[in-house]
Formats: sequence, structure tokens, C-alpha cells
Amino acid sequence: MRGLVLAATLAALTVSCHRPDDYLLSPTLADQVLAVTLSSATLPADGISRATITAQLDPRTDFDKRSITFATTAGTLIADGKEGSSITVPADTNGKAVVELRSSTSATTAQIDVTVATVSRTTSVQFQKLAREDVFDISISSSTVPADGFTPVVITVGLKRLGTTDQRSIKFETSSGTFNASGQQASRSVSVTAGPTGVVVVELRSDAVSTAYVRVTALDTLYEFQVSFTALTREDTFDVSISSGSIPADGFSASTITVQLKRAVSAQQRAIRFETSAGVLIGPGQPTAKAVTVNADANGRAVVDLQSDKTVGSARVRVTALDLPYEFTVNFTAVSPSSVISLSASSPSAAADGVTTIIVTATVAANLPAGRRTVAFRTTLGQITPASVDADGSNTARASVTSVVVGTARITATVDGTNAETTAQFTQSLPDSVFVAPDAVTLSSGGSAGIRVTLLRSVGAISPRLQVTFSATTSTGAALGTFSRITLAENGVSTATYNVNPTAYLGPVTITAIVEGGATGTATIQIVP
Amino acid sequence: MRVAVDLAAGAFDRSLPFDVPFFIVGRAPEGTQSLEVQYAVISGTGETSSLHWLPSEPARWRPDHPAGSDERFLVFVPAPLEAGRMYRWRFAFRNERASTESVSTAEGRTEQKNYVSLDVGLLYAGDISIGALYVGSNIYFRPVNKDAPLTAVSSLGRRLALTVGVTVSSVADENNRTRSDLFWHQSFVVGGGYRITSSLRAGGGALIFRQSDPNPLVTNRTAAATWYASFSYDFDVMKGFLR
Repeated sequence: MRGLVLAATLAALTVSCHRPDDYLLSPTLADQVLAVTLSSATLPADGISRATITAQLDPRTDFDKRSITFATTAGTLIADGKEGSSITVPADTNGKAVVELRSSTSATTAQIDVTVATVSRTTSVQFQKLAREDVFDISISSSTVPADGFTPVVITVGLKRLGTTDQRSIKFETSSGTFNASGQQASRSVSVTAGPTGVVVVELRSDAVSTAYVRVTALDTLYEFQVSFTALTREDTFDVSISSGSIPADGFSASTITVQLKRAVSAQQRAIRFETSAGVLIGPGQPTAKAVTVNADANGRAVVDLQSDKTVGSARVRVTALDLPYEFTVNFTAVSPSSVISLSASSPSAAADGVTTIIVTATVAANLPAGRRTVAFRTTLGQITPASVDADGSNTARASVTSVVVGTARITATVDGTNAETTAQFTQSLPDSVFVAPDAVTLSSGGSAGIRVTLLRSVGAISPRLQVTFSATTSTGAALGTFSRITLAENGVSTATYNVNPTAYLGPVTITAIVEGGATGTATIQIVP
Repeated sequence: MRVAVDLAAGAFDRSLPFDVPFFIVGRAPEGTQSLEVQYAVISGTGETSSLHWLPSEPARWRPDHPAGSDERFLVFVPAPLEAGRMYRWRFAFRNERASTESVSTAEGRTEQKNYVSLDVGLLYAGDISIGALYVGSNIYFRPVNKDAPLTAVSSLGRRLALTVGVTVSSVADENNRTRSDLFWHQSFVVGGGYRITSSLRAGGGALIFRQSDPNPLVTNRTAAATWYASFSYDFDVMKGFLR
């Protein structure tokens, strides 16, 4: 009995007192169960900075209740190579678990719930907004640039803290113009990821006169500024020169119009438009037209020719570059045909033997364009070949004129609608030699004999109906007898009848046939009794 | 209450009552005209040389006529005996013929053992705000005669008792969140009680149960105690058995 009493007494004395208040979740008990401590209650909202969150469990905590779950409403939890908004970490043998909280880029308060089984503790870390100067530096090449769509404003942003790749993304937005960034299409809004240097460079251009409100955002930190895109003047943009303010209205004369851009422009902006009210414009590699667009070369130079038409007047020419127009006038003046084509003959005359030629040479204007350099020849007499020919490199075109008809040939050469004329005289084609052949070698006094005169010419044909003059003289030189029935030489043959009057003369009589032009031939007839 | 004495054997038929007056019955020798009865306390060493007989005025039995054969005497002992003592009783008979006095003695003892009773009651643990039925034992530190009036003599020893028992109803809270019973659905009750009446006790003590760790992440449970107050009914089981 005493033992029982003693045991009961000892049992009552050795057990601890039960205190219900111990089960009320007082701060002390809460910390004993699960204490959460922060290395810092505030972090810069830069998406980079980190705070260490330490959860300390009661070392007596059951081993199957040592998985500690951390969850945050903002920022990123990192532990054991994992990261996320919620992460579970086993406590070590001392009941301790550590994670890191990386701040977000927005200023907010991250509520962090630390949960073990049914126990949860909450703490918070404030992500404080950073001043722009703490996040990035920014430089702007100019706040005023021409609105030429080419001249850039160079914006350089240098991050002061490097985070993850996502955190190095810098956003550029503008109300006007477009950004050009490496590897991206021009746009009003671009996002560029900084490299290891943390530096990003973008260019802002605009072809509209405006004020661009530019916003740069990095790590949720804004910086805004304005850029004025000012209007361009023609004088600032390009010069225009013309080779001549007056050109003949010949349809091919041209005045060279040269545009020289005075500033660097984009490839698209190198397109320069030329328009004319008269004549045509000839651009390199383009068909002629009233309006052409020519791209300036790498030096900013664009050249077209204004070719006159054949109407005297003036052409109003407009050159437009970078949307800036410039107008001027080119006069088309009256033109002399001789300045277009002139015609000359190699000889003023030639025998109309059908072979002997007169070379006519047409000289055309040197600037007559190809395709319009065909010279057409025609003659009023004889034949001219070729009928048309292109002027050669020496700007000449030649043709040969022959005729079997005596007369004056009026030769016309026409090029590009303009005529030039010259004349050439085709003279009678006379024989080189004359053969006189009497029908009889002897002839009695009072008798008669036919005489056949044959005209011969080494080149070409002999002109028809040449007049042959006959004479008969004795050995003393006295005329004897008469000629009748004399025919004009047709086809080179003339005939006549020699009549010997009654004469006492005996002996040879020389018959001489003289063809007009001087060729002569002789034959001898013996007067016999 | 009566106890019988066998003068021939010098013994009583049972333990002597204590804390209450009682009667002694026995056989008087034939012709007995009076009987005087006294007792003396025998010390724990058994020394009987200097007995002090009490009461000074002996208890007497005077029959109307001399006792016949096998006539029984009846002596009233008004002064209560003390528990846990050995008594020597002296019976002095006077005979009418011999006018002599014959003395017989008998020895008896009052109850020696501490009194243990069954205790059934209702406790209320104030700190945990729960009541529970319990059953246990009241262990008095002396023998107790439940027939003795509590007011008759100094009753503190007969009122105070150690109570040891178990709860009949659970003292665990919902889902054993903070506490659970010590074993099965019982918890341990240990305390003390003060008998208000013969069988009604008021008590208090410690209710021992198992408590959860305040840390919900620790499932280990430990024994814990909290105070209680109780009212109970003190059953005299042994008396029931004896009867």
C-alpha cells in the first residue's frame, strides 16, 4: 500500500504541469515551432537583389515534417538550383532551411508564406522602387534631328546591374518615328536584351516632323524624354544642277540634271523622282518617260537627262527628294536643221553612165540617239543606194548616187524627221573612143557610102543620142563631099551617108567623126575614078 | 455492535470495534451474580507487567438472578477503543455461593490495517475545463470505522485519505489535439480527499494524462498533470464483504 501511494505520489510529482496556454499560438510559440528570419526586409526592385530567408524549425520536429514550403506573391524563390514562386526545401538536422528571394522588378510587397505541415508563418519583403539612376544610365545623341527618316538619334542604355537574360531586356517605345535595333524590324516599340556588357544601343528615326515622346523601360524603371524631329529644307537636303538651261528643240538634245544629296539617307530615301512637263526624262536603265525615279548612288548622286521634244517651248522640271520638291525650267529653243543633219556630195557632177557614182554624205548630230540615227536618202534622178543607213560612229551616213540620165539629181537625206538636201549633176556619158567604119573603102566620084560610127566607153554606158559630127577631108585638108542621113548615136552607134560630089580628086579622103564631148574617130576612103 | 468472547480461549471472535461503543457477549459461569469488565492496552513490546486497567469504573453485568448454565452475559463498553491496539480484557465474575471473584482474561485487537475504500466520483479539472467520472481507491492512513460518527472524536485521520484512481470517461480533447488519456480511454487520478460525511468526499489532486507537444510538428506525447476538484462517494467495500 505504501508502495502504491509512493508510486502515485512520485508519478504526480514527476510529470510536468499541463498548461493549456502553451497551446495558444503566441509569438513565442510560433517562433519556437517555426521561426522565419530575413536577411533583409527590403530589397531593391531590380529583379536581381536577393534576400536570404531562413526557416528554423524546432529541432525536435518530427523527421517526416521537415519539408518546408516557401511561397511568395512576388519575386522568385531560389534554392538547391531550383527557382519559382513556390519551392520546398528539406530542413537539415538542426531544423534549418534556407532559401533566397530574388526581387521582382516592380515595386511591391512580397508576402512569403513558409509552411510546414499544418504550420504556416508569413513574412514579407518589400521591393522598393529604384531610382532610374540606380538602374541604368542613358545617353541620347541629340534631342533634335532632321525628320528625314534617316538621321538617327542614338540612344545608349547601360544597365548598372546585370540580372538574368530576361532582366536584361530593355524596352524602347516612342510616339513617333521608329526604332532600329540590331536584328529587329523597325518598329515603334522594340525590346532589346543587353549582352554581358549591359549596354544597348538603338537608333530612333522619323520621316515626319513631330515630337517623339520616348520611353525607356528597364527593370520596370522608366525614363522618358522627347526628341524633336524638325523639318528639312531643300537646301539642306540636296542640290540640283543642270548642264544647260536651254537646249535645242530637236527631240534629242538633252540637258543633264544632276541631283546631289547633301546628307546620308537610307536606301529607300535615295529614290529621287524627276518629272517634266515637256520633253522626256531618261534615267539610267529606264525607259524614257515624263516621270522617272532614280536611286541616288552611294555618293548620293542621281543623274537623268531631259531630252527635248521638237516643240519650241519650255519644260517645267520637278525634282523630289526626301519629299522635298524643287522645280526649275529648261527651255527648248528653235533648232536649225543643219544642226541635225547636213548633206554633201563627193562630186558636184558625174557621168550619167549608170556606173559612175556620186557619194553623198549625211552628217547627223552627234547626240542623236541610237534608233533615231537612220538616215533615209532619196534622189530625184538616178539611183541612190542604200536608201537608208544608220549614221555611224562618226555621225555620218553615206549613199551612192548613179544615173544613166543626164540631169541634176536633187538628193535628200532625212534623219529623225529632219531633211537636208544637196544636188549632183549627172552629165552625158561620153565615149572614150570612136570607131568609124565606112561601108566601102573606095568610092567613085559622085558616089556615096554609109558610115557607121561606133562609140565605145570603158566604164558604164554611153549616154544616148549623142550627136556625131562628120567631116571629110582630102589629103590636102580640103573638105570633100557631104554627109547625109546622120543619126544621133543610139546605143553607141551613129550612122551617116557620105556623098562624094563629082570631083576630080582622087586619093584618100579622111572621114572624121567627132562625138560631142570631143571624142573622135577617123576612117579613110579612097576616091577612085 | 457486538463481539463475542470465548473466555475459555481467551479470545474474541473478531477484531474489536474501535471508535464506537460496543457490547461484549459471552457465557457467564453458572451462578454468576455480577461481572465487571475492564481492559488495558498492551504496548507494542507485549509488556503486560504494568497494565493500566480502564475504565476505572468497570463495565458491569448484573443479572436479575444468578446466571444459569450457559447463560450469556452482555456488557456494554461505552468508551470507544482506539484502532490498531492490542487490548487485554479482564472479566471478573462474582459467584453467589463462593462469594469469590473469578477472573478471566481475553485478548483482542482492534483493526490494524489502513483503511481502503472504493471511491467513485466526479472530478472537474479546471485548467482544462473538463469533468470526468472516475473510480479509484481512498487510502486512509489509519483504520477507519465507517460506523463511527465523524463528530464523536477527532476525525481528521478518518476524513483524510489519499485517492488513487482512473477516469472512467475520457479527458482527451478533440482529436487529441492538446491532450489524450494516459492509457486506453483512462487517465490517472491521484490526490487527496476529505470525507465530509460518512460516504461523501470532497477531494482534489492531480489528473495525470498525456499531453501533446505544443509544437504541432512534434508528435511525441508526454505525461502531464493538472489539478482537479472532486466529489465522490466512498464505498466501504470491505464491510460489504465482511457482512
